[in-house]
Amino acid sequence: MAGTSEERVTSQNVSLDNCDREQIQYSNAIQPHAVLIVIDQRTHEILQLSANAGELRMGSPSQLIGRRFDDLWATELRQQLLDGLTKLTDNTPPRHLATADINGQLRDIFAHSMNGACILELERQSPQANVLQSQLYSNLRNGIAQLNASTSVIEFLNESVGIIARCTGFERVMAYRFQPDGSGEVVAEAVHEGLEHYLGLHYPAADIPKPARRLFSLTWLRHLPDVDYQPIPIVPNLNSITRDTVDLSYAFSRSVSVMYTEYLRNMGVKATMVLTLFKAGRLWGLISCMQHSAPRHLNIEVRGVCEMLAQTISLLMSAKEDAEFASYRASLSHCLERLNNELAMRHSILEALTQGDANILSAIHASGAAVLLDGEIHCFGKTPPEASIEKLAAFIGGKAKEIWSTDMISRDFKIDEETAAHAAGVLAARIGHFETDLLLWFRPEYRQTVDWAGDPSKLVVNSSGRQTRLNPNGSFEVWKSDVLGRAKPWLDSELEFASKLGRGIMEVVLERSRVLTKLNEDLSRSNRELQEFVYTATHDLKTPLRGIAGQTQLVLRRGTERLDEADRKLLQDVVKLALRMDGMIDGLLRYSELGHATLSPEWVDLNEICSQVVDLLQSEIQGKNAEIRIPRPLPRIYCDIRWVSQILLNLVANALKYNDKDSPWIEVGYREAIARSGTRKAQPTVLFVRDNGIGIDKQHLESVFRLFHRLHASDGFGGGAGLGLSIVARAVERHRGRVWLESELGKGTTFYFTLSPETN
Amino acid sequence: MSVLKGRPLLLIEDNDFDAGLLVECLRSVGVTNEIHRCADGAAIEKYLAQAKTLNLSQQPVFVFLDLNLPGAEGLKVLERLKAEPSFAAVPVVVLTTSARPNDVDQAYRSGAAGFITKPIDLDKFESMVRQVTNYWFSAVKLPENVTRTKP
Repeated sequence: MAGTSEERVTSQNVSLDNCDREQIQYSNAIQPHAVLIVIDQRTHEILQLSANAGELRMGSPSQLIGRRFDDLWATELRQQLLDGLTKLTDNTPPRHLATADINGQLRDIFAHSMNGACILELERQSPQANVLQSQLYSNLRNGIAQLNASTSVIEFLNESVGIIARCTGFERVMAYRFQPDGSGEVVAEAVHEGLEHYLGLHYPAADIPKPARRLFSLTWLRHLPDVDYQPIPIVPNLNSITRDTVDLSYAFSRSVSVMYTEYLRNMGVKATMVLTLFKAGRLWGLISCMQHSAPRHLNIEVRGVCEMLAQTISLLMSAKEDAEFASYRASLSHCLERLNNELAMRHSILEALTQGDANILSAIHASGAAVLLDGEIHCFGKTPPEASIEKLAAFIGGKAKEIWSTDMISRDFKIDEETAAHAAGVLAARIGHFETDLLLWFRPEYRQTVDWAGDPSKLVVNSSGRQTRLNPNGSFEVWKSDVLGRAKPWLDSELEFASKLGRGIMEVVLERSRVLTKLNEDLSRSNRELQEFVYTATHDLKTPLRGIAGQTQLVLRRGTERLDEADRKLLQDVVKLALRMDGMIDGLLRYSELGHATLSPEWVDLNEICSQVVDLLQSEIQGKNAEIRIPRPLPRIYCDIRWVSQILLNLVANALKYNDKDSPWIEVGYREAIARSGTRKAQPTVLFVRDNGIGIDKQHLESVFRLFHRLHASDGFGGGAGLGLSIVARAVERHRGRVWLESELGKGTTFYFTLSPETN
Repeated sequence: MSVLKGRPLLLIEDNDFDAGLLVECLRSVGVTNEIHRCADGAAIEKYLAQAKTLNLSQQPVFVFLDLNLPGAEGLKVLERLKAEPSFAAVPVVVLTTSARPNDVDQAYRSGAAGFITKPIDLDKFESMVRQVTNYWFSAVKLPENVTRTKP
């Protein structure tokens, strides 16, 4: 306590900057409504006195110092006082020792001990407050009944301030709650008509500096009967025991900080009383009483009742607050249960989360929410713009945690102002496979939810040229800037809710993908079995055909002499038919394969494929004396090499077959993809096979791709099973491309195709 | 030609017509060796059992195996054959009516020496046989399988 290297901050040098360190307990002055005496606890020697000790009419301070305290009093009173002094324990609030008439003035005498000294305060009784006496106890009784009956913390606090207003007669009684960051909010108020309302006001933490908070937590009640009092100094300055100024922490008549009185004056307040509200041994809030019209001094009865009320309110309020917490927890829990039910019953996760009475915003205190799943964003309530949500999701997803939260997004992530205001608080839960599958809840900046009904212009502002910051509006402004960008912090019960919900959704997602995987496996198996069947059936169909073709051919060989031309022709036709049927079975097999086989795409050089096709068809090409033209090198295309070979083979073979010209030609080429304006991706390359063949009549253009469809007589143009184009169509389809043709009868045909989907 | 001192060829084929055709084609290109035939899985087992007791000159020096056998998957028979010590070095050429891409790969992996799709057309069939015999019985040397493990 003594001998710090810093200069002690006292009323002489206190300012807004250092009031945090103001050592109010060393103000070494008191308020005038009491006389203060400091005596040695052992010897009862009078060590220090307040300068107004002369009021006692026992002598001047200088005369009294050094005398024995016991000697001042009449026998009966002395006994009372001495008895009381022996019962004192250090660091406890003052005990009331006696009420006595001291030389014409009724005084209440209090004492407390500290550091080897006893501090006595002899308080003048006030004539004023006796008026309330008769109603005091009935007010109290009724009041407590009401407190018990209240159903919410706010209702409870409203009752509380009402009772205290009735018991004390103060014009304004406020209940003030501290937030975890130390700032305070006026949560209940009983105020006389005509006076400004302070309900909803927020005060920054700095408004009640630490020294003040410490003193608040030592006693239940502090009373300042007259804001404009003249402080009475204590003489002498130093205590001969401690060699220090006396520690007035527990003295109720202690002089207060000038910051405080200035603030009160700026508010037009003439007298105050402040009660402490404790919860679990910690400072929870205050009940602050103010009188605007005149000073007000409450006597000890009323003060005693108020202290008792403060204790009762503290106890009951703890319970109410816990109950409210529990009630919120329970409602979150209930909501969670119902959401889990919905998830189990509904097919769509999004619907389960948002359609019912119990939904992602019905229980939790948030202003907006967003569901990000399967690459889609769905917003509900007040949310930031989608682009911001995407960026936020990427950031949060990168943390790869089950849940993540913040009450001040601007601190964690660079975001635009609008988002920072609407979504200062963010709570995120992972709900799917991807890191960015998230459930997000948003809370706006705290100050946006605050309503202060008060009108700053009506407040009295002390324009002494000094700081005009010391007034409620100034406080509010400071508080507003303190909480800039902050939202109400997320409670543990809310984090738990998010975590459990997230897990519940993930379970559903995983279960569904398990089901999907199983379905896919079943489908693959079923495809394989089907394909097996096709192979077996193919073989079984081909076997007798071999017999038919083979044996007929044998007959033709052996029976050259015995058969005449007609018979020969018949037998040759049998062979042809058998061969054709064999070809059709092969075609069917190929067609079926296309339906079931998995596509294995890769980058394929079409020039190589083309030359392979040309090699395969060499005899037909030479037979027709056809020219294969490839005017410019073909591109590389991402596709399945077997199927693209099949496509080119079939198209070129067809082009060769259906050509009656003397110099047939076939051109294989491509057209570049034209990126349509406004699309992000390029369109696929269009390949084509063009010929100068017989062409196709317009009316038949639609039907050329049909299975087994032939436009010409069975023998015409070398026969053919009619499968070639169906296979081409299916192969193109498997690539999600498109095939189409242009043709002019007698002139030629062009088949176009793509091997990847067009983007719209 | 007589392949390798007249040792027999083994034909595993269920279809009588196809079998007869193959034999006829072989004869018509001049192969004079004895041709053994197994028509199904059971026959194969019997043959293999009995083959152990034969002396070298009676051991087949070449095998035609039709994959589309009833009751026994052709590929399994191939594996079975190749597991037999007396056939480990003997070339097995696989015949089939239609070639599944998977079958082709698997056949070679299981030890087939060649894979042929049987043409339905008689002339083409004959030409195929001629190509096979030109390659296997004339251009390349067949193993003699002189050392064999104890039965």
